[in-house]
Amino acid sequence: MSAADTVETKAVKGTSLWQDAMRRLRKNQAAIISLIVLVIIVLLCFLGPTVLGLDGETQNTANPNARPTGEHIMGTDKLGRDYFARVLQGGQMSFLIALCATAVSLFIGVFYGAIAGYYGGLTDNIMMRIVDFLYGVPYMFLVILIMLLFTDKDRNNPIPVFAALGAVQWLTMARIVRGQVLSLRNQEFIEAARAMGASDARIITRHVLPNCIGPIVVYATLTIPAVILLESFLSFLGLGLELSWGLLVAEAIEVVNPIRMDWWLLVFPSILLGLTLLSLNFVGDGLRDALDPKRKRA
Amino acid sequence: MFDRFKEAPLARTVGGLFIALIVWVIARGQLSLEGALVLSLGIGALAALFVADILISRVIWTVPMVAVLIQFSIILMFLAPGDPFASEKNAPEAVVQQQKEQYGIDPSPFTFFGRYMKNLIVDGYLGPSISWRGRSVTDLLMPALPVSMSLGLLALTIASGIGLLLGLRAGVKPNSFTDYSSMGLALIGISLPNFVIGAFLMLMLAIWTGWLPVAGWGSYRHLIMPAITLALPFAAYIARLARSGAVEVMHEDYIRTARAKGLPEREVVGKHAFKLSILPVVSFLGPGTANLMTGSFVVEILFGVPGMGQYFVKGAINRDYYVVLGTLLIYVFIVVTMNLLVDLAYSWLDPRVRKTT
Repeated sequence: MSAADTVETKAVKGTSLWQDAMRRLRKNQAAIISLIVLVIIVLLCFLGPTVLGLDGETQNTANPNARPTGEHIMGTDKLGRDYFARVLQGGQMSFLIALCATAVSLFIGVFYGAIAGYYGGLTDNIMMRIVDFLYGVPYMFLVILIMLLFTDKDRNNPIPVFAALGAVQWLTMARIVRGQVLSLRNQEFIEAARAMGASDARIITRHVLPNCIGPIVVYATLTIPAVILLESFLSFLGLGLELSWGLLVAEAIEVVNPIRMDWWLLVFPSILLGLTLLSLNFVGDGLRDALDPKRKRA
Repeated sequence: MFDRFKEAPLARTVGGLFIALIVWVIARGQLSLEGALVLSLGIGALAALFVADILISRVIWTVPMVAVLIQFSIILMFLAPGDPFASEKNAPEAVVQQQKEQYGIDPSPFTFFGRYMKNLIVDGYLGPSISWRGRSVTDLLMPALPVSMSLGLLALTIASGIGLLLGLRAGVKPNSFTDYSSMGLALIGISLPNFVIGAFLMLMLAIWTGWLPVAGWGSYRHLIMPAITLALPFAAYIARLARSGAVEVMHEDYIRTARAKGLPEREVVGKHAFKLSILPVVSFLGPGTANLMTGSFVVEILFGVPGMGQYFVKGAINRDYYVVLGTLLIYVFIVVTMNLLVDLAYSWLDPRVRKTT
């Protein structure tokens, strides 16, 4: 092997879609900073309580609603529990819900959209009409009705919540995937696969969907903050989880009154919630611009 | 004169009948039997003959889907544990049974659907409220509807104003400081749950300064904070859409022409670019109204506004079937109407989508 050979192989080495995208993403400062903030918040939520030795369970009735001090840096709640630990635990729950609900919506939306787009014609027409109609129904109705299926005893069980949230968040994903599939399905490589006798299921999963991965990833990233937001709405209405950022904020709002202002109960979970959602949105937007540079220029 | 009808007589007849049905259901409660009949058939016939195609095809799709949605909601509510009379603890089985009969609650969701639809279509009756004893759904929702509507419309106006201003300013000069600051602001608006915004507004405008009442309903001063809270996330969406619309339009040839003939920038943007720039915003207003309603549930409860959202949430928690279905129907009606208006506005703003006749 001479040096010239190495140079030559380097020269023809192409960059993949993802390498290109990552290069563009790295140039997007807002997205990178957001990503770092996000990683810090996730680590803090999941490792923080153990590493920092925080305890959000022990009640101390002698010290309720205490202002932030050196010992309790975010103060204590009405039962004297360390609020910092509570906020971090709430964050764990918010993140878990977000990931699971996004997975559910991803699964439904991708397959729904792929089937509609791939078969086209009447199937497509009916399936997309249903999506259009569901878009028009304020999704809170459906979420609340689905939530009612579960008794109050299940409230600390996250499964019903994420099933309900995932079940209403798939509409946009279905539309995006359908659009992609529609533009792919008449291309030569699909025809080739069909000519070789591949089944529809195989063509969809092996040939069509891998080519839609960019938009799917982007939209999934943008679904995560949407789900966290929706869960916080549910918590506010008293239908959410036992502990999440939304619930902590909702509880804090209940005690907002002119006489006694326990601001730390409101401010800290709000900041973390807002910061997380903001970062997720920045990362999602950044990914979209990186994967689809045409869109940005347009 | 009847060209439109002759082109698709079947679709137009069905569409006209559906429109007559909608008018009938709404009018039945207010007018006499004959009055409602004449009014609905008259409007239905006129619609079948003259109304735009888009309205007809919308109605043909929507009416069956609303029926399916009601059936689906009934099934969900029947599947949910507990029933409307669960609060009467230790009530003898016979009493509960008798109450169920009195309120027309069948054991099967399908027969209940039939009974509900019969009440709705024959009498225009939304049913009795179960948890608000002695009042019908119409009694409950009629005073709440204008409250929710005025809140929603005010929020919509604020949101469009702020959103268009920020978005167009950003889109006309992309990648400038104005652009980045406006879009950063918009992203914050999207990222904060509206009750957090509402709570901070409450702290600042009501508790610390005492300028506005904390919560409640009565004067216009009660409307300000809820409307702003409801509007801000919505304004952020509109700003982003208006920006993307404006960025695209500013590259069009006809904008260059307008500039080339020496028009001042204000006129180029305000007169020529404006109409096309707001297209994405207009098409968002349809589903956006649905989003606004989701927000209004929370805002109404946060600020103690006596609107329809609270009835739905409380109705759902108490398994008050009739209240839930009634609210659902009214909300869906508003959203569908809004979508229709959006479609009409769209064809007015963008001559390219207008069908040549």
